[in-house]
Amino acid sequence: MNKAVKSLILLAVLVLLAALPFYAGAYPLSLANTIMIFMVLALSWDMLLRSGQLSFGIAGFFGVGGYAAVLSQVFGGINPLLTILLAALTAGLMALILGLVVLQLRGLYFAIVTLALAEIFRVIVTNIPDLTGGHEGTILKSAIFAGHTYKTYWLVLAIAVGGIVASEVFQRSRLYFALTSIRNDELVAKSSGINVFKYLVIAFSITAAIQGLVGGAYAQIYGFVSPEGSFSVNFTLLPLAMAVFGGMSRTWGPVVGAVLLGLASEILKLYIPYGHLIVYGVIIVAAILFLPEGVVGLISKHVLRRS
Amino acid sequence: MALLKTETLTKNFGGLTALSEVTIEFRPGEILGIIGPNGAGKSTLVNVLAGVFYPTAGRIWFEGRDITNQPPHQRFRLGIGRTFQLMRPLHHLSLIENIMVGALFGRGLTQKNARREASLMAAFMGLTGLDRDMTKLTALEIKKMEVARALVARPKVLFLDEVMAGLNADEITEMIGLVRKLQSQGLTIGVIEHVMRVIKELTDRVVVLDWGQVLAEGPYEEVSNDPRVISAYLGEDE
Repeated sequence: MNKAVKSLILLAVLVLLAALPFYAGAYPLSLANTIMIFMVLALSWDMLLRSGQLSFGIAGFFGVGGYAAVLSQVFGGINPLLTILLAALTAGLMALILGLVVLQLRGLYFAIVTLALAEIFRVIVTNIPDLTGGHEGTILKSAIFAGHTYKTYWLVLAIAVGGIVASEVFQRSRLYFALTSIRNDELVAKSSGINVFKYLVIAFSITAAIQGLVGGAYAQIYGFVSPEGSFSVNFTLLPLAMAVFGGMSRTWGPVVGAVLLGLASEILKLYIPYGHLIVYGVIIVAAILFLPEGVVGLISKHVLRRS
Repeated sequence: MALLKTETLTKNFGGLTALSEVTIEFRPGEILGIIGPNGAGKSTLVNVLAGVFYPTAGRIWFEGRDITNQPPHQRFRLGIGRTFQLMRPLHHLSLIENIMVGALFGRGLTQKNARREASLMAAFMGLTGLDRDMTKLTALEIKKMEVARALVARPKVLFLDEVMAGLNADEITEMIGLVRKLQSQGLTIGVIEHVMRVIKELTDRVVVLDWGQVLAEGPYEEVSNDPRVISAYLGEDE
């Protein structure tokens, strides 16, 4: 497929998606929002994994972003859209500072510490009720855009497009060479002029900022934050499953994974209201066993073989 | 003046002394052989010089600068390149991309320039099929890639850590030719090798390590007749 055709298809898809509110109802729009939010989380998780670092801290930075957005509006009276950027900044800065310590660790140790971080954030916000509302959390007077469905959808779409662009920048810039080298062989990376620690801190901060941004947007859309809701383990596990299912270390893997699993989860909910999570789990386990490179890996392998 | 020199370099791993007060120098433009029995500390020496390990004691000087505390990526940028004893291709990058890494991060080139430099270097090394997956390469090609990845950063000194291991006689002859060509262009080279033919044909001087210490130093003919070297390799008559 040549480049012009590819760009044209992408543009057409983008126009169709942007126009979705004009031909789809409220239910498809809200489903699309959910899928896109998890898609960007899945992308951000995968972007860090390209350096070989497995994070279980998505929910942590997602929650931090949510709280940053809501609290800066409540106490600072800041414009809702700006609070979402502030959420990204807060999560990114926290990752930068924590990364200086945490990124001394590798592999399982890094993964466990990121999991612990998410829990520590949750405990902290629960225990400063004067600021955060404690267990009950904090409710905004109104959701962003006063709950306007179209505008909310476009905001989420913009974030999704931004996430895809960020992922492609990771794939096409020198970051790609640095992170892939670090993932494949850290000794070779540092012996080839790569400042391993610097690139890991960059990747950790940027992906945490994205998770914070999504958390901020999510909190603004639903108009509240709470310790159990904002730091829910779902925000770590579902994106992770989507990236694994779709295919890791490539932009289209998490994107396709999020769409397929997002739709599957909705459909399963209709047919087996209480058993859908079991089926969902079986799909993921099957994907890990039989599709080591995910759905996108499988497709690209077959397409490549044919051409 | 020496390009690179060490001053009573010592490296301990727990209770094990891998290097003990090693003082050696690399003179500009020479090929220095580093030999010694297994476990003598040859690879440890390369790793300490390249910054992978920091020495327990002693200092390292490069072009008159003390680089003892410089991290490995800085040393690579300063001009200290190396290959690895065991082949270490970056298997999610293609052949050309593997070589590009050296140019991107060793010299700070843009992707476009790095790609151009990498393909020139590949041509110099006799590598073709640059978009190939690393799994499709022969041992010789991977060794050449490692040399190219280091060379593309334009190092001043290059360590070849058992670069001939696993190659057949013809391939060794080809590699020797390439190393000679590099020396003729002014590169200083440290050769760690078990294949004595290579040491004999290539090196200007040889340093013999044994139990982490410098046992002997001098031209190959001299060193290979040194009774202490012979007994280190063959064991002593009891």
